[in-house]
Amino acid sequence: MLAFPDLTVDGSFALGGAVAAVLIVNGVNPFLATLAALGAGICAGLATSLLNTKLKIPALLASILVMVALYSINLRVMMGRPNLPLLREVTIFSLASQLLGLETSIAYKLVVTGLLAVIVFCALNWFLRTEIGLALRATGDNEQMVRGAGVDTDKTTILGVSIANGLVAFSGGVVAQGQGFSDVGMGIGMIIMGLASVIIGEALFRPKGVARLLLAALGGTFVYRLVISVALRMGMRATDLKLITAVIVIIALAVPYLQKKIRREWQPPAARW
Amino acid sequence: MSENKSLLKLKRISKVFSKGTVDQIRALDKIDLDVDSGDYITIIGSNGAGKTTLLNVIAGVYPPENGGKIIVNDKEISGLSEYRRANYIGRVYQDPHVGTAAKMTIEENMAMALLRGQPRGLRVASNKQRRELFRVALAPLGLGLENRLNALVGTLSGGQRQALALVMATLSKPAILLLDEHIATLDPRTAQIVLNLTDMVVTQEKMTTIMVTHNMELALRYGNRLIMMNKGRIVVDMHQEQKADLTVNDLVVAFERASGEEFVDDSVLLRSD
Repeated sequence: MLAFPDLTVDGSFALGGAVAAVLIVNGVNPFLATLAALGAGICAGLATSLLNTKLKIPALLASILVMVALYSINLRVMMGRPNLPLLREVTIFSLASQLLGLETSIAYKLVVTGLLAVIVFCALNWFLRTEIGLALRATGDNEQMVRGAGVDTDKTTILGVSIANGLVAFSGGVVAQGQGFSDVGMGIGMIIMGLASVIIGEALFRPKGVARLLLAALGGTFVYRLVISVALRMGMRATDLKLITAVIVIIALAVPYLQKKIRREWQPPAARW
Repeated sequence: MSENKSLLKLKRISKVFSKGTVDQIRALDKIDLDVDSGDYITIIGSNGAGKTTLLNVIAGVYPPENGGKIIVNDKEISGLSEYRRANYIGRVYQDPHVGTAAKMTIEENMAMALLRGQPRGLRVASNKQRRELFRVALAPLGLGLENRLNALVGTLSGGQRQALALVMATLSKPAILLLDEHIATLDPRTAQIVLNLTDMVVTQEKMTTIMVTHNMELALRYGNRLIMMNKGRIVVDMHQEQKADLTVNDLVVAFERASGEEFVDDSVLLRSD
């Protein structure tokens, strides 16, 4: 939505996992713990966007700074341990499995993540159509026009980056509970995975309008995961996952340009990144 | 609002670019200007005369230097940032891309413009009532945009985008309308449409307007006051009575007498016939 290359997400994903895990280990309700992860992510996004808008540090650099700082912070949150197991703790997944009487992990995980996806989709689908949401989307499109319409683009940028990091940390909290542990390194490459999902979604579904854009991002994530698991089945190692992701993104970014070049209708690359 | 009341006052407005270097340019040199409510001023001058810089200072892109003051309706706005001044000022730029957001629909662009100067909340940005308002505002263009509210603005031609930008700039009835060579890049037919619409809006709404142009013919034909700038100063300032019977040649002579130098700008002369 915003044209803001935000590497903070690598840190805030792990931050969300760390916050949720520590709270759960200390006996906090897993739903509250997951919400706390959301709040922690919002703070991380706030830090990056304030560095960018108020101190005029370029977005890329500001987000790298916060990402690096978060690495130390995440270790502190996890009480100095790089890894925190959640096995046998009460998580949103174990609660759901009791509540729904589902035994197989695939079944209740699907229900919980599906439900969360629907909730987040509905919330964003509503928010991005509101007056504030519209100003936020326009900021990513044409800042000059947005200022001309009387909107402080600093505020919309801060709002957008904070919400985005909040959601990323929220997912981090959910993923940590799903996989049964939180790890300081679990966020590495998250920006590229997110990017891959969005690019795949846009390329496959060519979305128009807010709802379809959001659905395309969801669908893109699905397809991306599918590609990854196919690659793993074909004998790639789990540790090669990030390499595969990077290659997917490179191909996705390069193909449109190469197509144009072959047809001799070269255009300068999009100003988006 | 009573006629002939001073709406916009500029006091000792200066702007120097690249201060302290060999490239130092005095873009605006202690400009004083009183604009009456309902005035339709055309500003003309060669490249580098300071026309666009003057609009930029009024709109808040740069703060005025050395205690220069900008006063709107007896309220000093010199210290206000660009987005705050948008409450008083609507602006159309030379480049149609600046005034509109390409990746959003006509409806969404209009919804952004409608709320200029009003607080934005969590209401849905557009509804039936507002759509009707947008249609009514777009219909006089005669471009059929009122039937294409869901079209992405990026799919419109430059002329259509500029016409839309003009409607957006005036939709919320700002006190002052700034036009920065807004028809310079349009084809003759669309330029005429946009000009007619400008005239209609300005006369119907009695909107106080400052139009920068390169075209002497236009500057003579439109507006009730003509200002010529040279090297950051106002060298000619004519009211309706004085400019009524003038020809382009008279204007060149007036310029040369006032500035003490020969008028050399091919683009002005070439476009003036």
